Amino acid sequence: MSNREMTANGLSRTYPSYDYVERYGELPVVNADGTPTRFNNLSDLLTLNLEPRLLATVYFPGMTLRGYTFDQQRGIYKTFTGSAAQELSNNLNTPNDVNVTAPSTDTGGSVNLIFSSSSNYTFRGHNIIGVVGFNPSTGDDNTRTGFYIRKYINYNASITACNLYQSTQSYIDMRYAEVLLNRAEADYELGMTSDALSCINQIRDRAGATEATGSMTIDTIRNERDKELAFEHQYWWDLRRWRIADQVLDNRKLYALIPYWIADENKYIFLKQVEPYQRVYNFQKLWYYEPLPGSELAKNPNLYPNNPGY
Amino acid sequence: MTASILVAAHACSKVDNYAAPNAVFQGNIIDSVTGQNLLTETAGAEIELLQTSWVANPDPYYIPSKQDGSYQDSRIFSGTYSVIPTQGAFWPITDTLKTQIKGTITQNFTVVPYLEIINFTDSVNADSLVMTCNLTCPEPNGLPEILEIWPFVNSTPFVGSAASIPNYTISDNTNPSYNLAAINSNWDSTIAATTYRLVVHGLLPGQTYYARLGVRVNDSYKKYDFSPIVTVTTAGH
Repeated sequence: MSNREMTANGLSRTYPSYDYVERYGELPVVNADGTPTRFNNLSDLLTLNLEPRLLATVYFPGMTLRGYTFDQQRGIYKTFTGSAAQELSNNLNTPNDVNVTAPSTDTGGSVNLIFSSSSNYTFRGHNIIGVVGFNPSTGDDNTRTGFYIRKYINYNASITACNLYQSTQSYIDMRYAEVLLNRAEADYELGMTSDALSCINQIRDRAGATEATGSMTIDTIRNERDKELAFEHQYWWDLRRWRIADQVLDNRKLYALIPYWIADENKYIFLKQVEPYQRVYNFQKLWYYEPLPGSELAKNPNLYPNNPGY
Repeated sequence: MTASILVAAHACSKVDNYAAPNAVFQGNIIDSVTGQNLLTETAGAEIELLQTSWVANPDPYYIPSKQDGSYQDSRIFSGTYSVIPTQGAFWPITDTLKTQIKGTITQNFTVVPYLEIINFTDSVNADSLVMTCNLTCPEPNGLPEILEIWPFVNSTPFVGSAASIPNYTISDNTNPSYNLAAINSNWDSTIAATTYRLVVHGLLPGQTYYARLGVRVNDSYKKYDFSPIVTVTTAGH
């Protein structure tokens, strides 16, 4: 699902994090001197020769769907000096500071960074926020990471065919890529690295990605799995199966890549920030095992003791 | 909807005449090194109770610790219990206490913390808070891997891992503002000899903050052994 405008009324509330996008490599949004790279257009990230599979999985700013453009933008800097890192200590990106101001005039008051709760407001003839985000008044209904999910989207379907409960788009349950990834992982764990490499490269060949070389690690294979099977209800169970959930989800916050327009330069910048809701994800070790169901314990007390921590 | 109201009304027509739980179980969790209350936080440790006089295999019931290392629950059913402190940053205790709870029972528990934060100092420099400390280890044998020392800052006296201002604790080590002291090592003489220095940036002027450090190890619960809480005030405009 994408944005409400593009689907009659359905919406997703699930968005690809910038952490996911970075699995394909960091985007060059910061210059060597630490200043944010200036872009002429919101859509310029698409000129970076990104992997086709990434572009097929994630809607980037500037892409279009059913006549609408993904125009996500969180606000306008009247002027921007200094490095991205310095700016991030001023621009904390919390729900509180999102609500600081919603100017309805073209002056924007005395603040340098202008937010708005409506995509109707403009500053110097330029929209302050995009129709598809970031809008503090619509909560999770619009992106909070700067991206939308493209996988599953049938761009040929009309808007009215995508109304809530109307879509007939199939769900992905299993496919050959998973078979290859299962095999590659088993191969690698058993020391059969050449077969693992062959499996990974079948995936990459299909995906239009650069082929892997012999210097793989188990993380190469896991990362490939996470890239290929994103949004196919695998990652959570993979984290548990690999017994790394308690490390990956350890006070974890997810990142967003947030576009801003700089008014006095007429340029766009993208800041890597913790997503605006700053949600924290944790996984306790005891959750690797479920509790034994109480009804079963009642039937058979010999099942005691319960799993640790329950 | 109508059906559920009817069911609810019916369920309420039968008087519950079972006496409410009214026993009190309280006490302190004592740090074996200092002899004082364990420096912890709300739910930084749990007292686990099993009411063995109720059924043979009771579900565990937990009383969370308070920030001052005490615990208290005044709605306990009288009966026979197996009690043990658990889910805290201390060595597991294997000796379960068997006790009768009736009326008001005060019971202290002594635990051996994984680590102690000592020589704790704090100083404010403009918008930065600098905290330093050393670590000691009461029982190095078999100590799980030491993970990190964390700074916690809050605007209220309740400060800990679950009550802190998020922008002052940057735990993502890919973030340039990362401000934990990562150790990721088993206990050794180098750690013992190191003075750890943690810096929190971006405090607002003319404010009072409450701050402390916490260190955790890679055990099942990853809870924190804490420093004391300090009150710091930044200069005005």
